[in-house]
Amino acid sequence: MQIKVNDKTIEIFSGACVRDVLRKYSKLTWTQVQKGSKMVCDGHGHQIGLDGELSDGVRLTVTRVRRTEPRS
Amino acid sequence: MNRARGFTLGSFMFLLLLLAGLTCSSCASVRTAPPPAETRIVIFHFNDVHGKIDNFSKAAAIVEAERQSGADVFYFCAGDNFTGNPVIDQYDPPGEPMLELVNRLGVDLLCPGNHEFDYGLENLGKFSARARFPFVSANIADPAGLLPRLRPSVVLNAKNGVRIAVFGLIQIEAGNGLPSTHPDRVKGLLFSEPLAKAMEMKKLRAAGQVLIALTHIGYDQDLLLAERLPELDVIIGGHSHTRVDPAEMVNGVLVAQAGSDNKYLGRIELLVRDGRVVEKKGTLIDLKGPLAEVADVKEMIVRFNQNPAFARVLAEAPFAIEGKDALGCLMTDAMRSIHGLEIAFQNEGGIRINRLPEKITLKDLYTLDPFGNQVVEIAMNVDEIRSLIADSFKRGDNIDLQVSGITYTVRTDGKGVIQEIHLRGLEGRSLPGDRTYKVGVSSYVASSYDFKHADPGRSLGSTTAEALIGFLEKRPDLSIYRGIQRAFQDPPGRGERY
Repeated sequence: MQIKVNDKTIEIFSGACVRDVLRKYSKLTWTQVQKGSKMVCDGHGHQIGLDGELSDGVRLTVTRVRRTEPRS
Repeated sequence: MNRARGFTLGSFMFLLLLLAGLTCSSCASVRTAPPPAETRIVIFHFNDVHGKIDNFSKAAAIVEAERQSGADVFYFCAGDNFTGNPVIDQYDPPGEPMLELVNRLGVDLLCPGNHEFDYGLENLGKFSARARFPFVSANIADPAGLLPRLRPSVVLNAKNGVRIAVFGLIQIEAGNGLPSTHPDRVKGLLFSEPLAKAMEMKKLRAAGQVLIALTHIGYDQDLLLAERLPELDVIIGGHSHTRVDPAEMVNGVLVAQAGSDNKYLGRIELLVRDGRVVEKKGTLIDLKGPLAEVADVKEMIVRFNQNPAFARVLAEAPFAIEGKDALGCLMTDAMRSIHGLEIAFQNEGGIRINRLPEKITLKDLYTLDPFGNQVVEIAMNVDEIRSLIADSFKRGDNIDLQVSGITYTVRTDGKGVIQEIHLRGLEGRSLPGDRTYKVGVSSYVASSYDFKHADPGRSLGSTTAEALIGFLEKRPDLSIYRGIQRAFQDPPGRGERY
């Protein structure tokens, strides 16, 4: 099946979940998501879990996690 | 806390016909008083917990506090309680902690997800029979009555005579028309296309002042459902693990989903006035961090996490199985045997211990293979298999993939540059290059390794650890794993193997 991550098309086995696609997309991005500096959203901008099951044609975006800076 | 009336669409239509046949005066005699002007309803919901039970004690405290405040509270589950936590998956019987917890929590309704079938239909039937709440799914037909509490829809009674009609929907795969689980696990049930079935359920609008779809079809499909069925007040979904906070209003329908893994509790608030929903909103409550907990639910969780099944001895070997070669051969033999594959590979990084003791327990297996990687089948020719082995070798200039079904030798120039990869079949001859082979790898290898394969492959719906458990339960001859080696490097590499 084909999944689009940040406009790059990834061909991956059927039954793959979000973490599988991210590993295939970019090792660096996968590491950043694991560390929590980036998160994965669906085509509507909602965050999705790394074990989320995917179907053919799904679009994902990986974005920076916005953190609220503590006030000094 | 189950207030379901077991009121199916069929029984509702029957009641309508019955009432239509009565005289006007008798009509008046059965008519109930109109509900008061305003009713506030709170619906809590969760989905895709996948065996992550730890936060249920916090969710229970939130739900019980709301109940004690006098609000009219309901509690829905949008599917996929099982698979993802060995503590729950390996319980005896499988999934028992989830059943006891959702019964204790006072869940009112459950829409089965594809992973509800992972322990087999017989097990789910027992679960359903002991659940204190109905299952709802309009696109599952159960002609043999295998799931005793399955209904297409249910009408729940809220305060002030308000009725909440709820129907369920489960996802099916485009290819085989079945939910995403092994086809053998749903034999005897019939599935239909969820959105088409939903169109039939709009008749339920007449059954209650509130109409809800409790689904396990994924967020994208929920959005389509909202576009096609504006008669709905709310869609509470699951399957795609989407964190929708706040719930989205789409075509006048509130669409909610509470992420996954019990990280959030969904809360929907409805205001019903003059027989219709006039206000609706949904938010997620983050269950991370210190929150109040219900003590007895916490005790249940602690007890379940000490799963006695982990001490169960699965197999006894004549000696401890030691070394990555032997353990990798055992793991790949398991994959090949359980899934009928011709060749299987296991990467060394996925072998987390160096020794299995003579008495092999479930805990030992999950220490050996803790990652929950799925088995993926890929049809590969000889060149593609060589491409996989070459990529694995280049990762550390050393043998990485353990194997079953063949042996192989990576011949290098002595400086780590590959000159040739020679594959041999079980009989020792070169592997015929004129055909493809059913090759099994973990989902980690399938997604992380860079190798040629025309076939993208397919997940077989169970983990590498589960294959190992199934294999050991078949009592194989474990004496073959002393000093076994199937992957070679010529000339020898770093010296630890040769």
